[in-house]
Amino acid sequence: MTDAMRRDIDRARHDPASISIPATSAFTVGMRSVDSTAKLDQVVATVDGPIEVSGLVEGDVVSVDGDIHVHPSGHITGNAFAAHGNVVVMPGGQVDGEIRSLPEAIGPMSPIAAAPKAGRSPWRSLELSIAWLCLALVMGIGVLTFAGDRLDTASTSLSEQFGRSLLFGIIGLLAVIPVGVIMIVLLCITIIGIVVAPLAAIAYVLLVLGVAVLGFTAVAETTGQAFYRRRAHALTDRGARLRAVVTGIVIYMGLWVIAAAAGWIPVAGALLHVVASAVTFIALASGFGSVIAARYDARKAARGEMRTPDASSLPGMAWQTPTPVGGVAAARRPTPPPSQTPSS
Amino acid sequence: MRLTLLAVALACSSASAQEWRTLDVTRQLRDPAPLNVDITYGAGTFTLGPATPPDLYEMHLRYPTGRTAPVATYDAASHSVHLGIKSQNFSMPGGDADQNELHIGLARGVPLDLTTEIGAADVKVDLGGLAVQQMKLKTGATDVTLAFSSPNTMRMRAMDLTVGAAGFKATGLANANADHIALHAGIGDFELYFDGTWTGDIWLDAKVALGSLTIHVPEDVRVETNAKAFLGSIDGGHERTAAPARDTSDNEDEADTSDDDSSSDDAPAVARASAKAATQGAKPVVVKTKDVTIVKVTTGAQAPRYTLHVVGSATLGEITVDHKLAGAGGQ
Repeated sequence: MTDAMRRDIDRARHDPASISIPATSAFTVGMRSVDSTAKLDQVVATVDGPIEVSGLVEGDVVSVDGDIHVHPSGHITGNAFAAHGNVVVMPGGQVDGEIRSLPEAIGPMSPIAAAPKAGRSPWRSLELSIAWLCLALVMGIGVLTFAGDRLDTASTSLSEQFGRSLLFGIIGLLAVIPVGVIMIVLLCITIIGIVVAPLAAIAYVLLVLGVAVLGFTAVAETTGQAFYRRRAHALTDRGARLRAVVTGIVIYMGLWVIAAAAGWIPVAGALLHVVASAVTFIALASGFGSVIAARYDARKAARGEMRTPDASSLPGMAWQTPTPVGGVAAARRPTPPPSQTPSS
Repeated sequence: MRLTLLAVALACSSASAQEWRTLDVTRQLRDPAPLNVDITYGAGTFTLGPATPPDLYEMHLRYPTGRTAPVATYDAASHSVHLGIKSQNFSMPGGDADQNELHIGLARGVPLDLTTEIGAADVKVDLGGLAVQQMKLKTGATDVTLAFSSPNTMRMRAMDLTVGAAGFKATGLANANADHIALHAGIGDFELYFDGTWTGDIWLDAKVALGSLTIHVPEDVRVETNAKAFLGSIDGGHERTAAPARDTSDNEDEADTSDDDSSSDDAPAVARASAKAATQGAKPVVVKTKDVTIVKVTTGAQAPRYTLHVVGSATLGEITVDHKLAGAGGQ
């Protein structure tokens, strides 16, 4: 058997359309015949055939670089497989297994063999998580720079009523898709609406993403502020907010980095992914809700429906009056009445 | 989703990396037990029809290497076979997926549970003469022709057609021998021809999203439409029993619908209509309402033997019933 024949057998073995091929040593070279009176209880394999089957073969018949002819009296109890050849079964010929022919080129298919397996490697996950961390930092700083007042409103809403923000957030997230669909359908009722619908859809997606980013940054800022609450640092207000945002984002996105880094560890890696997912969901939902709640409160306040709380019953900065824009209006801080000191 | 990926995978095959290969697979019929057939295919030409005896199934596949791999697996224990292709990766557009071809033949007389998922392909399926007991056809962006050129040899439990963006034409649906046909249509033109041999009533559940569905029905088959139009439209889905006739004519030999505003004259008109119906071998049914007496005349020749019940919905698309096909020819 020549090296070329060995290579052909090897190529046939690694063809993705191939079925089981016996060891190369089991192959014979050149034409092979099974007479009508013959009965073979073994695999018949030939390279550079053909194979003529007129008798009984109790097993597979494999031909590389040649055809297989099953004559009317021929019977193969296994498969008949011709690589770079054809299987021809004449009327009356029997093959109990599969009849398979690869008449054209054979061999492995390198792109498929080299295709990446499903799922990501831990290194890839780590790269992605770090990239997301950087992206979140950029977006967070952007929000702080360009939408600082809105961020302040959302952070206030979040820190004062976290549960309410979370509830608003979950409801809001659940409503995102139905509201979008309803909006598009309603737009499509009219001819003008059909034209506007694609733009409206894009605007809606951008709005939802904007709210999500703003909310997440608010959560990060609130978390960062809580982190530094008991640590005295001489920073300006702007600097303190930047530090809080960066710290919060690092905390939340850092969870993903840690989870990706622990991806090598079977149970711990999966567990950390679950924790990171849960924390991120809560952060996103509460942040999303805080923006909605702040907007809702601002509208109520603008309509004068906001119940003015008793300032003396609220702690800290709660005495300030929220405005529709989200900032606070200058007001006098309630102070206790001056004590009645007897005049001397 | 899987169909789309499959289609994109094949359509985007890079010509530079392609080497065309052919795979022929057949298995001879040994066991007539019901066969589960699962076919997946991406882009190219796909044909399905009866196999050449004595084969249980036969497949001829021509495919490019690099982006796809053939599938031909048979499980003797469950008597199921999976045929077609699978894809594993993608590349930029520029391939010549039109040269892909897949032909599958299935044995006559073997009960078949057929599941077919096609991506983007030119599909021609003729199941005439086979024994299909269940059928699911899912297609993505395709030009599909489904035919039952001769009657299905066994009762089909369910026929489920899910068609995405396509031109879809199904003919000989009465030959399918199916009680229930479900069509989920996306975008495109869909035509269902209920010609062939009717053996019983058929329920068609058609859900049309954005496309246009035309249902062609023999004129001697009754159609009942209970489909809902959300933002789309449904046309021509009127009931086609023999038309109610009001015989209140002055001419005793001719029925018309005049003078039906006078209830005092109903008695002779009803008598005339009944007598005329009797002479024609028809059964008169007298229906009295508050103001009008109606004689429904249903002749034996006109009586529909079978009914097509159309349910479902047209979300943004339209469903049209065309009642002009030749006779049902039911047994």
